[in-house]
Formats: sequence, structure tokens, C-alpha cells
Amino acid sequence: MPQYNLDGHVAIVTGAGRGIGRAIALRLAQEGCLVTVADLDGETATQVAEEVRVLGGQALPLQVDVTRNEEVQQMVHQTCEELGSLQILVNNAGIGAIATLLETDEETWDALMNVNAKSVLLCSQVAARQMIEQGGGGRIINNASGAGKIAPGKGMPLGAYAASKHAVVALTKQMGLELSDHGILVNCVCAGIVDTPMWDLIDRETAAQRGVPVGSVKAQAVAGVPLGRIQQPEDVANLVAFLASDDASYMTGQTYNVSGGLLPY
Amino acid sequence: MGRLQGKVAIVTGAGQGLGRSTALRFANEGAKVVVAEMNRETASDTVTTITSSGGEAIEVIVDVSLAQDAERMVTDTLAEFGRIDVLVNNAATFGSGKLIAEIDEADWDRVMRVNLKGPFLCSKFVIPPMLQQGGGSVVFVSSMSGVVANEMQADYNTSKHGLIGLARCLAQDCGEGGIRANVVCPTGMNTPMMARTPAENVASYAAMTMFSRFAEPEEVANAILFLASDEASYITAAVLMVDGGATAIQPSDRQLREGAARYLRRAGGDWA
Repeated sequence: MPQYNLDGHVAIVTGAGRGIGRAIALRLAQEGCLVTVADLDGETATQVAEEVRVLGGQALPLQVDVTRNEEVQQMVHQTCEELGSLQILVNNAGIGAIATLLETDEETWDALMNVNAKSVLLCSQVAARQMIEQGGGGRIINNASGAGKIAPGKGMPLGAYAASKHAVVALTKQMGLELSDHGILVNCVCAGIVDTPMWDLIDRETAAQRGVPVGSVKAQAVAGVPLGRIQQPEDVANLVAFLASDDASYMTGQTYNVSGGLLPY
Repeated sequence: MGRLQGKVAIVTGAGQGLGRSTALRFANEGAKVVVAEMNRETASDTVTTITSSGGEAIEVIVDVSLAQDAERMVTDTLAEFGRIDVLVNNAATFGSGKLIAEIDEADWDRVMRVNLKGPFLCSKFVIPPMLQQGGGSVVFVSSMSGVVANEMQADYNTSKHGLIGLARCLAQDCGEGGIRANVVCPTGMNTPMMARTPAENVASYAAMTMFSRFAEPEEVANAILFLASDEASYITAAVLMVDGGATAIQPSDRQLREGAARYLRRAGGDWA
């Protein structure tokens, strides 16, 4: 059941082929948005767009590499051509990498920074220019991560990942300021231990490094969550839908946790 | 179906300002509302406003800083509605507006009693029934002053900082019992409390925000509603800044002056 009045709004969700991005795309569609489902993997984008159609919504699947400026421009252009003027951008696409900082090679660092941080700048620039031209304001919501606020704990070698996600939090602040005169509100969300393919990867690789059974790293992390259960992608989508709605009209430049109490601040 | 359909919510300080807006919004979303308020007149006004538009509400006249009052608020709510799903710790008082060296012990005690001990007491008495029924949501109304300093606000700001600690500890202690505890930090709002603030402070507070304007209390009530509702079922120990981005940036003196001027132009320039 829709909670907000987003009927007919056009939204782009990057990395929407699976995990949190998929949940956000489905939720925004349920709220009445027309959604561009952008993903590097065109096949998963098409599948999620099909799921939206089954729910009675309208979606445009696009294969996009969000680190490439021309592809980002094409994504925004095609969205406006096929769905209408753009109101919402959700910068969700991201990758993870498991390595201590001492072992992080330059290639890994560049990949993390490009996909997790640079793409947020590129997509936001192009989308914001479009929103400014339209004149009706808009919303940009960035999906950082708990690693955007803290360094993941001992035995969780995600230092470079955390650096890239901290960058997203910083971008959110300045972007909120620069776009406030145009009525574009920019916010960021930080999730905890989410039941997604990304956490399966973290669990598998960290478990292999530690020589412990697959699943045990995730289970141990979840044990530290005050609410005592793992997070579902829909939990993040709930917060994103709120931030995309009229109800969040006084919120910008800020970062909000949805972590079951895992994040200390 | 409202977003709080069938839920029972206590809102302290619901006679005016943000508390009143929150109570009205909650009732609109289907909640049965307990208007907990010290002022009998404003309390019944909020209740009447709700009931006359078909909602359900009762008033409980309390001083939240007195244990027996906080306890009675909980027992009265249970007697009337049988459960408590949401507590909004909103009731608050002003700081003394003095430099620390000049704050009297009585000033300090007054502010701490209402702003910090009150929410502690209300939470303390609401926790057992919430645990018994399998959970609930407690929302603390702190402030932008709960995370940054303001001039001559040491008593007020300390109390608002304290609320964040209280909320986080409640989230830790009661998370497995299904109780969520979160904080909303507004900046200045167009409320009766702000009407009593000196005009030059008002202008500079507005200038701190990215919007160069205050929040309407309804805009902050939206965030409280979100945290109170099941939409936020995985959100606990979180601090929601509803401050127009004020604490995300370091405003320069120039920006503050320009922002204040902008605010005054919009407000009709009755302060110069």
C-alpha cells in the first residue's frame, strides 16, 4: 500500500538489478513512480523492470556503467525521453572489496573510488542539471553504508571500501548546500548488515581468509545488532521512500542510519 | 488505512507547537493519542481538535519531571487504551540564556529536570508494558542544539545532548525486546517557543540552514511519524537531523550575515 504521494514521479535507481537497489526500485514503483532500473548487468535490470510491470508499474531497464560520463548522460536523457521529467535520483550502485589497506592494490582502490564515489558525482551532476533546467526541484538520495561513517571492525578488512563510502557522505553535505537554492534536496542513507549478495561476498571472502565456515562472519556481525536480526533490503527502501517524499521537505545534506542500532552514531 | 492505524501513542507537551502538530498528525494516521501536557487549557484544545474531526484522544495532565506523574500517565493510558505503542518525549523548556559562569544552580536544575529527567522517567515507566506487548517505538525530540554548541545555551544544549545518549542506551538495552529508540533533531521551528526567542538569534538560526528558513512544525512531525511507524522497523539508535542541513556545513560569517539579511527581507524586516 502506498504511503506517500509520489504518483507519476520519475525516478532513476542505479545498481537496481539486485539487492538494495532492486528493493528501492520496487518500493518507488509501488509508490507510483515511473522507474529507470539502471544496472551494469542489463539482464538483471530487465528482470527487475519486469517485476515492476507485474506489480502494475512502469519501468525502463537500462544497462549503464555509472563510472562513464557519456553513459550517465544517456541514462538521464533516455529516462526523460521515455518516462518524462526527472524528480528522483537514487545513487545506489556500489561494489565491495575485501583487503587490508596494506594489501589493497592501486587497481582495487581506483575501482572502489570510481564505482562508489565518482559515480555519485557524475550521476548527480547530470541529474541535477536536468532538474535545474526543469525548474521544479528534485531529490537525490545516496546509498552509502555503515562503512560511510565508521571503519568496519576487527577482522573485517574493508578500509578502502570505507574510504569510498565516507566520500559519499561528504559529497552529500556539499551537494545539499550547492543544490538547496534549486529546491533539490540531497540526503544519504547508511545501512548495517543487509541480507544481500554484497554481504554474501564479504562473508565468503572474510571466512576464507580467517579459515572459518561460510556464514559465520555474517552471523557474528548480526549478533552485534541491538535489534538482534539481519536487515532486509526493504528496510533501506522504506527510508529511501520517506526521503523521496514530501514528508522530508526540511531534510537535506544529512546522512541517516538504518542499521538496527549497529551504527554507533 | 493510516500509518499508525490502531496504535496507541503518548505525546508529551502536546498542547502546543511541535507536540500539538505531532498529536494531530498521529491522530490523522489512525493513532489513539494521549495528550500529555502540563497546561490543562492547551491539552483540552488539542484533544478537542482531534475528537471533533473523528479521531480518538484523551488528555493526561502531567509534569513529566515528577515520577508519580509519569507513572500515572502510563497507567491512565493502559486503563483507557490497553496498550502503548509509541512514546514521543517532546515536552521541553527553555534554557536560561546565560553564560555558563552566570547560570544559577536553579536554572540548571530546572532545565535538566524537564528536558532530561522527564524523558528518562516517561521512558522508564513505558518500557515494561512495551516489553510485555513485544515492543514499541520511543522518539526523543532533541534539537540541532543536541549536536552542536550555541551561544549562551549551555544548560539547554547539555540537556539536548543528553537525550541522544539516553536514546542510544535505551536502544541498546531494549532492542531485543523489540523496543526502538530514536532521536529527531530539529532546528528552529515556527512555534510559540521560537516566538519567545530574541529576534537576532532567530535570524541567525534561520541563516544557518541551507534553506534560510525555519521548519514548520508539521515538517518535523513528519519525521517523528516516520520513526514511530512500522516503516522504520529496522531503525533504532538513529539520530534524524531535521535541520535543513544546518549541521552538515560550516557556515562562514559572511554566509550568516547574508542569510540573516535574506531571512529578514522575507520576514518583512522588523529587526535591523
